[in-house]
Amino acid sequence: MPESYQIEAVAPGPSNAIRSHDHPMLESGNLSFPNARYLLELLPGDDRSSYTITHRIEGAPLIARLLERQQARYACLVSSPISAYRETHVSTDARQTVTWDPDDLGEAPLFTPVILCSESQELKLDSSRDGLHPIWDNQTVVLHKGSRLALGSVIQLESSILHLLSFHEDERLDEGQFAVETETEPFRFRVNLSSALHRFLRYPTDENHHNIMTHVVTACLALLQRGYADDDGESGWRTHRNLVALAEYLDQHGLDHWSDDSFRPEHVATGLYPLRLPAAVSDQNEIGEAA
Amino acid sequence: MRVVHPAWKELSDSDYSSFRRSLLKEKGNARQRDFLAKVRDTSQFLDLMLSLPTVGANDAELAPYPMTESEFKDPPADSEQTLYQAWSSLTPAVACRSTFWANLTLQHIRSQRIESVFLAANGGNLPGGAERIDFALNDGTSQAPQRVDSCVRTVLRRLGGLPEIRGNRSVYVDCPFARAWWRERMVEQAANADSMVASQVRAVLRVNQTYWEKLIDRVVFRNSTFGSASIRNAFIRVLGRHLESNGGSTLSTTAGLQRLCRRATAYQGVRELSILDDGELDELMCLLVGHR
Repeated sequence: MPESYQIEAVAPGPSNAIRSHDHPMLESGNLSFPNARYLLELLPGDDRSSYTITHRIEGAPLIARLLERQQARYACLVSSPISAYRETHVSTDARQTVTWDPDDLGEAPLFTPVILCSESQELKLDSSRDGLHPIWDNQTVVLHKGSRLALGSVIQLESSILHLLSFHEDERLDEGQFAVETETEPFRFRVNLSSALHRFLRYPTDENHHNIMTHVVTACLALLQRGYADDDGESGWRTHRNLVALAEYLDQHGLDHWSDDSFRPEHVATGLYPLRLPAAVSDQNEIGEAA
Repeated sequence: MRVVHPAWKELSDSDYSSFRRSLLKEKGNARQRDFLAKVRDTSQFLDLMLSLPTVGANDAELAPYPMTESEFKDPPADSEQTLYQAWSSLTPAVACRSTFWANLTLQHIRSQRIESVFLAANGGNLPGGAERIDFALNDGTSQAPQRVDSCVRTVLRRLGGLPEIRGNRSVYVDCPFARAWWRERMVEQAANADSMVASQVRAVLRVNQTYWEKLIDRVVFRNSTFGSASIRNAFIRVLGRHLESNGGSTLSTTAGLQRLCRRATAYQGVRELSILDDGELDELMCLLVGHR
């Protein structure tokens, strides 16, 4: 049964732009709504081709008012650039279900949550009433149909390295062996496993399962270091959206990137998924430390 | 999350990926030279390539007739229409995959619809793929490794695209069969069964190869403006009308197209244009193109 999870759609950004658009907008790096938050709850559908998304805007009375008056809409862009696909799903309700036809998508979809103005209008702004930075006080702005009032970050559902693994039984491998290869459409690590290992890894059990996964991740990162270190900006690893997302993920966790000279696959893998020691060893360490 | 693909027959992704990667590892090495020598000889090339594992069971239709080298490299509009009709049951999910197109191109070679040397043809001074391979393999200058590598890359690009080097655009731009499918699909989507609009749109999409590539760049990169079918359709419909009634328009040049695309992107930068209805989009695109 899929479980829902929450994310903050607008994370604080490095810039402090306020007047970068003709109207105030809630987005990363834009201080127009200084106390606002844009939260999302995501619930994967059972059919693997839908998501229910619940938008929640806090601390932005202007946006809340336009939504309430139905002069703005909740929306979600679903896209798969590799197969020339981008659809905009619009809803009057904060809870919306977006669906897609798997035949249209060449990869797992990207989601971009937005709040859009649904009719043209002119507004005189009041910072205290509208929850805006004082720089917008008494400004008159024109909104058009489609004007973005809030823009969340693109949600990449497969950013962590664990999402990039696909496991396959390979009877040619001796028991306990595995081998990692890459697939490129879209980019994935194909982990070929001996039969028993394949059975064992299907269901998480104990620290052995966790530690084997860390070993697999080390092998994947080593593969990236060997074969995907180069990128001239036009070609190379950046052409794989999944790898760009993984690079951002490592960066967010303060870990080296596979093109860095200092990159050590085992160090990054155990940084992401530290090895778990058997309880007895952990206890001994604690005793040793206490002594 | 896994995207489910129909069971069209294609080369195994991991095997074909590692094949390409090892082939491109070093410019002009023995492996590249051996590969080109095999491309020169269709039966050896087929022995090599058909040994790659495949997945899926359904074979796509083959082109109904053998093609000349120039027809394969740059199919005329009516050939592209014929090919698209033969492949009308394909979906975007499979048509964006180089593994699928590589297998289909190999099947065309196996059934003698095309020859393997056609894959090396790349325009320029040398008339055909065979001449280009011979020139690269017999080159005794310091340029030889670069020439051999370039020839190998051309073969892989024509076969099914080279996405790890050229990004998402490669399948759409570099592989003639895939290009035919995507181009005609965009014609079909934009024209909506209106034959006059179809002809105008087709003319836009076939101005030249660079024009097509620049347009595709605006389609297949992350959240790009023309990734939205409704925006893309309105844009190329209006541009088609404009070019038909303004023969010498600068918008038929690549530079003109890029300027126009930047303007469309600037609009999209402040407004999400895809929520506009068709009439509103047409009106906006007319304003953008300057078409009355």
